[in-house]
Amino acid sequence: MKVVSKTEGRLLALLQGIVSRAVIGQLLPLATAKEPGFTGFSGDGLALIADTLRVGMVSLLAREGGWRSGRQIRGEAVVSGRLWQRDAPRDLGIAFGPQTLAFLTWLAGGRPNDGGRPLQLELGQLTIGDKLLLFLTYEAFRETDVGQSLAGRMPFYKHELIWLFYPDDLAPSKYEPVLDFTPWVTSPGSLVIEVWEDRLARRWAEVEAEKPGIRLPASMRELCTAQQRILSAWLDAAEQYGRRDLARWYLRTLSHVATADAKSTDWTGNLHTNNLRLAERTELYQLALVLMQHADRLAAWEIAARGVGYFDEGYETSKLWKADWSRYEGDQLVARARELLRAATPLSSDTIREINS
Amino acid sequence: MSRAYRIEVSETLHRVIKAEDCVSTQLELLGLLPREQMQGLLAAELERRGFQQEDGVLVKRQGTIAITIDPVSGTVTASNEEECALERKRKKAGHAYNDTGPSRDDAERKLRDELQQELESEVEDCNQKLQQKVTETLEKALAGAREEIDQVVNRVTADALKIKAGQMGHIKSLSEDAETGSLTIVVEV
Repeated sequence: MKVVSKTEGRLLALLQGIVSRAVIGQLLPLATAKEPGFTGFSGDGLALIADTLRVGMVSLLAREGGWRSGRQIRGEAVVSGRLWQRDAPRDLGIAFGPQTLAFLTWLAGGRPNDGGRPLQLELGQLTIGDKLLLFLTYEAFRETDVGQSLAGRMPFYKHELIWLFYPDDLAPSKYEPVLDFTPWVTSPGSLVIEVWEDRLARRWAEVEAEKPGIRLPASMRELCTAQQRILSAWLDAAEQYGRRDLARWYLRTLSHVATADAKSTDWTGNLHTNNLRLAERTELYQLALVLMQHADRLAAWEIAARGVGYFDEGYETSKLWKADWSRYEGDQLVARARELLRAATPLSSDTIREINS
Repeated sequence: MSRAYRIEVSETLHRVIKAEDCVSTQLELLGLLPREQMQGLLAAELERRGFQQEDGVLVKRQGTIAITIDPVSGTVTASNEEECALERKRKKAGHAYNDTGPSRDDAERKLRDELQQELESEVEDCNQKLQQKVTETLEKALAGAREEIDQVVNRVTADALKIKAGQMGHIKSLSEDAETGSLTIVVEV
C-alpha cells in the first residue's frame, strides 16, 4: 500500500480531478488550500502521480474523441480507425517531464490565484505531456479567478494550445504571441488535435457566436487580430508538415457559421461604430469576418488536390482532402465566405452578387 | 500680508484642420473577353460617364467626393476630404502672489499652459466635428456611387457580350431593354 503526505494526497486528488474533468466545485478547494512548507514528493507520491497521468490521460483522450473512428494522414498514407488503431503503441506515447513535477510542486503551495507567487518553468523543456497538463489545468479553472491568474502567467499566456482553443480569453491580454504550432501538427501532439477536432470546431463556432454581443470596436479588433494570427499560423504549420487533415476543424467551423442565411451584419450588428471613420468601420467589419478570410486558402488546397494524379506522390492524402471538401460542401462554403466579405464592404455592387449567384 | 496680483495671458491659434475618409472595393468584371480588352471597355465607359484620366486612374468628382476607379486592378475608391482653417484668440486670467519674480513667472507659465490645453481641446472638438461631417457626407454619397458602379458593370458586360457574340458568329438580332437592363442576342453560328 502506498503512503503519501496530506499535501501529496491533495495534489493527487487535484490531478485526478483535472484529468477526469471534475466539476469546479470539487477542484477549487483542492487548488486554493493553503499548505506551506511542502518539501517535495515521496517515492510513493511520484509513483501515484505517474499512475494518475498514465491512466488519466489515456482515459481522457479515449473518452473525448479517441473512440471515434476517423481517417488521418500518416506521411504519404491515410490511416483509419480509432485513435489506438491508427498507430502502433510505441507511437502513441505522450511523455511528461520534470516540468510537470515543478508545476505540481508550485500547486502544492496553494493559492494559484495569488499573483505574487512566481511560477518558474523551463519553457524550452516542456514536453507535449507537460503542455497538455498545463492546458487541462487552465481549462479546468478558466472561469474562476484562478484561471484568470494563470492566464496572466508564463507559460500560460504563451501556450499555443490555449491560444488555439481560447483566443477570446487571451486576446485582451494584449500580448502578441509568436505562435509555432509545430508541436501540435507533428506526433505526438497531433494525436491530441485528432482527438479534439470536434471540440475545436465547436469552440471556434462558440467564439463566432460571441461576436454579435461585442460592442466595443477595440474588443472586436483584439479578438479578431488574435484569431487572424492563430489561423495563419495553424494553416501554415498544417501545410508545411503535410497535415491538411488537421485543418478539418476549420472547415467544419466554416460549415457551421457560413450558412446560406448568414449575413455579414450577424457578426457586427451591435458594434458601436458611430465615431469611426468609414474606412475604419470597413476594416473592422472585414476583420470581424476573419474566419471567412482564410477560406480561399482552403480552396487553393482543393485545386492543388484535384491536380494530383493517380501515379503522383500525395495521391492518397489529396483524396482525403477532396473527400473532406466534398463532405462539407467546400465550394459552397468558399462562395458564401466571399459573399459575406463582399457584403461587409459599403461599396459592394449588387450586380456582381447577382451575376455570381 | 500677502496680496494676490491679477495676471492675464493671451494666446492665438492658427490651424488648418483636415479630415478625410474613404472606402474601397474590387470591381469584378466577368472575363468574357481578354483582360486588356475588358479594361479598355471599362475605361471607355467611365470616360463616357464623365470620369477623367488622372495618373493612370479614372476619377469623377462631385464637390469634395471623389470616385476613383483603377481599370487595371479594378479597385474602386470613394473618398471625401475637407479642410477648415481655424483661428482662435483667447485670454485667460489668474492670480500670482508676487508682482514680479520667479513665482509670478511660474503662475504665468501655468496659466499659459492651461490656456493652450483649452485651445487644443477646442481644436480637437473641431477636428471631431469635421471628421463626422466628412464621414456622413461620404455615407450619403455611397448609394449614388453604388448605383453608378452597377450601371458601369452592366454596360461593360453588355458591350463585352456583344463583341463576344460577334466573334462567335453572325448576330442576327440584338435587343436591349433599357428598363430592366436585359439583353437578348441571337447569333447564327
